[in-house]
Amino acid sequence: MADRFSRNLGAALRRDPLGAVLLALVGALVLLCLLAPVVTRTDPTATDFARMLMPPSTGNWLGTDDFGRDVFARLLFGGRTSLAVAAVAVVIVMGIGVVVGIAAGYFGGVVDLVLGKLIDVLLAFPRLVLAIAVAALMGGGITSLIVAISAVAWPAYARILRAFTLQVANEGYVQAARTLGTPVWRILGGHVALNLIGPILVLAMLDLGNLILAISALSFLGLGVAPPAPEWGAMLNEGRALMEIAPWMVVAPGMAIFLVVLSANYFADIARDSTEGRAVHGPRDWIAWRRPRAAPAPPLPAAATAPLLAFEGVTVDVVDPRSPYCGRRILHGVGLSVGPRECVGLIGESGSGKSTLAMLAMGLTRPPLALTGGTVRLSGRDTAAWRWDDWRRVRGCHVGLVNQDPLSALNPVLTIGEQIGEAMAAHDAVPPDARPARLREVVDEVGLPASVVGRYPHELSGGMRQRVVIAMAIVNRPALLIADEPTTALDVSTQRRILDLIRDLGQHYGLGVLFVSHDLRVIARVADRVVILREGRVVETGATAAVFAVPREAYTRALMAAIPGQHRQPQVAEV
Amino acid sequence: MLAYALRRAVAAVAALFGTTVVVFLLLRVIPGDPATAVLLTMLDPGAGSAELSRADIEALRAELGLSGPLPVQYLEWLGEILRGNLGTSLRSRQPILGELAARIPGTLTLAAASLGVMLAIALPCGVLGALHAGRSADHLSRALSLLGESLPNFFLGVLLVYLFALWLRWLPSMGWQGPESVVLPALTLGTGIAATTTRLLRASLLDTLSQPFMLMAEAKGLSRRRLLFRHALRPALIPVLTASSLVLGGLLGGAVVVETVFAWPGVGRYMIEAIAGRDYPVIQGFSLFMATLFIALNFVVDILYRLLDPRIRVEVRRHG
Amino acid sequence: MLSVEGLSKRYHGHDAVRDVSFRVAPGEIVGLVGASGSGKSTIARCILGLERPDAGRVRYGDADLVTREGRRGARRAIQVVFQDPRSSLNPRWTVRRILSEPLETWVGREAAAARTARLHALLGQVTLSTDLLARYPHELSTGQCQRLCVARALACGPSLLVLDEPLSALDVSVQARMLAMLRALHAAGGPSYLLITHDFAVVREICHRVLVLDSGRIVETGPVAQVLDRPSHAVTRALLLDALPLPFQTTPAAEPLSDHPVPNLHDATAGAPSP
Repeated sequence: MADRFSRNLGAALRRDPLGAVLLALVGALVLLCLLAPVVTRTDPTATDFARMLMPPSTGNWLGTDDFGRDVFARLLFGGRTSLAVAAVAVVIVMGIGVVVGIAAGYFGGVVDLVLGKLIDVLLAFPRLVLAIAVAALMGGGITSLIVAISAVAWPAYARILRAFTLQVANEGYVQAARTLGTPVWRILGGHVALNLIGPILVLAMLDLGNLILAISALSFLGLGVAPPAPEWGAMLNEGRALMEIAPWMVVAPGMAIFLVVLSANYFADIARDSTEGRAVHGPRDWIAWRRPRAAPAPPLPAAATAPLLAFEGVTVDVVDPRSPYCGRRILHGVGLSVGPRECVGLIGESGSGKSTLAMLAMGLTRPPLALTGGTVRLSGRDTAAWRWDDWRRVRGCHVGLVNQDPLSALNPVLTIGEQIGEAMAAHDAVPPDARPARLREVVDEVGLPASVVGRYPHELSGGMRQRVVIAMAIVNRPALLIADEPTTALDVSTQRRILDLIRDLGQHYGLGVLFVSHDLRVIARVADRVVILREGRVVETGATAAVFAVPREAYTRALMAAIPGQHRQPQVAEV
Repeated sequence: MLAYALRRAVAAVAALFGTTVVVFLLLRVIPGDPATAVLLTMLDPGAGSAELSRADIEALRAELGLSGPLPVQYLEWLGEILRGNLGTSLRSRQPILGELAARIPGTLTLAAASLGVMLAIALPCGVLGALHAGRSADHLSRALSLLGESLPNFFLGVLLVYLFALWLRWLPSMGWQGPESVVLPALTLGTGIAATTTRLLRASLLDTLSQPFMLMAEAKGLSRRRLLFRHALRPALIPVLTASSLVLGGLLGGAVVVETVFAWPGVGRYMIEAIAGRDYPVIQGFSLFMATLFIALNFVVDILYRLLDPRIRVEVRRHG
Repeated sequence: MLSVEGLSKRYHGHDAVRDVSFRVAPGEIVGLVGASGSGKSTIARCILGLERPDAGRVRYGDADLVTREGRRGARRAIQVVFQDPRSSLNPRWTVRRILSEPLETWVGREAAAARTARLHALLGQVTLSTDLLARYPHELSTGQCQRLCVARALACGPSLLVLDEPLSALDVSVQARMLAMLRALHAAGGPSYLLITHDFAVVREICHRVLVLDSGRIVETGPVAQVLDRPSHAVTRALLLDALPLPFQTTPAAEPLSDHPVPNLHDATAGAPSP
């Protein structure tokens, strides 16, 4: 674990020279502060009125202050105080925060209620204001500084860690450990705490910067160490009246604080960032500086003889060098076509590339994936040169999409009516004055009551939301529908109704449908033709009935044999 | 909506009572006797507690409301506060409410101007950063917010005074000398909180852009403007609002520091001046005022939240 | 063995489970079927002691599972396998440590060689390779993770295994092998199963008896052949009607179970997560 951590850190620093420089600088500063008595023999509090306000020189590297004290020596000794206070505060804050957060999160009930109220009340104050009040009431000094900072900083942690703990406590492995009879202390140590180490370290790192800022702010306000002793915030306060004459008195401690806080924030930022990396939707050129050139012609429809959708030797690879799977081939020269009024079922297990193929038909392939070979044709037109704006005119108008999870497919803050309506407004397929009527019509066609138009997605069940998604897809009367596992997330009964709806609408509108699923039973119900995909290659293709009656390939036969329900458990006599 | 606002208001009042308990207890749990400490600061430095008369201490204890059993002390103190009496300043011998009220406009002006600066910086930077994630505009906005979060505002304030007031002589450096005086303090305070907000907004917008509903919106063939303003931005603002108490706390806490740097006539500087004289009633009054302002601002945020997010109901609201 | 009597549980003012009673006999495989939201998982959680019922009794032999003492006595006898195998395994633990967790509680300290032999035997029961002991869960395929969850549950020596949608997260071919493994385990004298599922096909494959659940109530119960072929309740009929039929003709009765062909589509190392 520690080994893996240092390896990751080493790799991160090699990729990040700025971080390495920052680390070296702040490391040197901290080391100098720790070794202050060795580095400089000058007493940081020794006054020498003969050498007041001297600019930086070989004798006084950072000049002297208004009492003739050496600023460099004060900076190093002051740093010892600042950093020590910060370190102690972090330990106290994290200690209280972790214990309270985990206790409240794991045990819940009365423990949670009492601790939660305490946290709520403390968080009703602005953090720094409460710290100032506490320090002011206690009358300054290092102890009151540490108490003030710790007292106000722990509730925020406790609250975050409580949320994390709740999340971990609901994970299957904690639930399983409880049924396994693992003692509570071992669950807390081995499961909860172990999985919270990452977030705790990131939080500590993140707030180290904030704590140092708060500590120096209090010192700056005169609530820290007593005057002759040096401290960065206090030094800055002493120097600010003399800014014009002796800027070094301000700049030296200011830069020291800045450097330490900056590096703490910088590394926290990197640690936090490592969780990112999901595909982002939308055009790459969000801000189109140049108006998109007028496309040569509305791309579709074209020759009625051509298939609506045709893949010819399509190859897709992972091309992003940052991806751990860079160079992996997802689709190996796949050929497939969907004609008018035809439903093609695409069958594959997870990792077969079936969803990649579905996205390709919408021009929605995203990094780290990219089309590296072959042609995608829509109504006979090659889409290779199409830009985002060209695709935009086709999507939702000539090609509709229904995807897997209806719960996350609708925007939570827009009403159903808005979301269906804007699909019409984005295209010219339905004239503006016909749109309200068309909206009512399509809502009725997918079997929803007219009242859903004013509702929000969270007020509808999963099956109803999938109907809304289907309504959005067909409202502009497209020629082609891409259905990517549209029923996988649904109940058996809902599944059958949605399947029948897609089949009926397909016939009603004369749609070509590319229907993607892992379930042979689903495909058998809707598809005229099936294509079986395995690890990015087409294994078998043919008319649905023929393929299932006489499968040619061993893989197809194995898939068919794997469907449950073909065998029966012998009954035992006694019950 | 009204029911929601009402329930949030009840919660806010409950929080206010909680803060009075904290403010009340603070003075009583600190080590040492507050009355003795006050009297010591009034004498010459170096004087010992032996020189204080028993009677003086008891008199001050009574004035501070420190005699009698704790619950009785609290109820009497609370009663006074509810009647609008925050006590009398030990130094100026004036009612604290009046002294605070005279300085509240200064603090509110500074806070409002800083919020304006924050929005002007954070909205464009956060949105640009997310839309251009991983590209130069993003790197620039992240570098700036990193700098903004790391630069202590008292240091930035001193640097700005040096640059714009003392060197370029464009703006006044201290106190209130007309509307232009607010520029430097507001810049100092606003940039710090803008950095936090930029980071939050960028992360939140990136998260929204990776949601499946954005894929579906794109699959409908919507325009860029519609995708961004109608679909992405509103859900993205919700987590930013959730985290706004962090930003508002930074704003109010920072106000105390910035008022000190710029000798700004606000409640923060009033309170800092009171510290040296151990003017405990003033410190208490200030804490209560800041907590009230903070709770009020959070209440406004809660209402905004409801306007943005149709899903939220009071019952299912969870902290954290 | 396990008896549930008059179990009720409310969440946020609506009844998740209403007056449910049933028994599971030793050696029996009982299916609990219902649409989502019908209260299947709530019943499981009450049996496992993860949730406290509002009313009713859950007994295991003589032990009352609603009380803390009763649960402590019966704890190792009732184990669980959840739907999502990935979240059921601590991502920071190796397979060895995951499997050792119940052993530490129930077997205690023992010599390293004896412990390893025990771990190998457990892996053998779920047909996993012993090479996996040093791996982390993210290095296993989803099917392997689910087998590991079964092995961990078996380590306690349970007499009842609650299987909460154990196949839903798996690919079809992996499902088939998982089913075959569960069947073999039972045939070799393994525990009773309480199988929670929404799929009648799975019930038909493995269960002796089935309980049909609708809105928190048991609407029909009986031997699989009777309930699935001659359903008496409207809810059961509707559920059976909505289940999609096989896309081809088979002769189920003719196929003997013993040499049921288990498709082996992937070798043991396949199944790396797709990007």
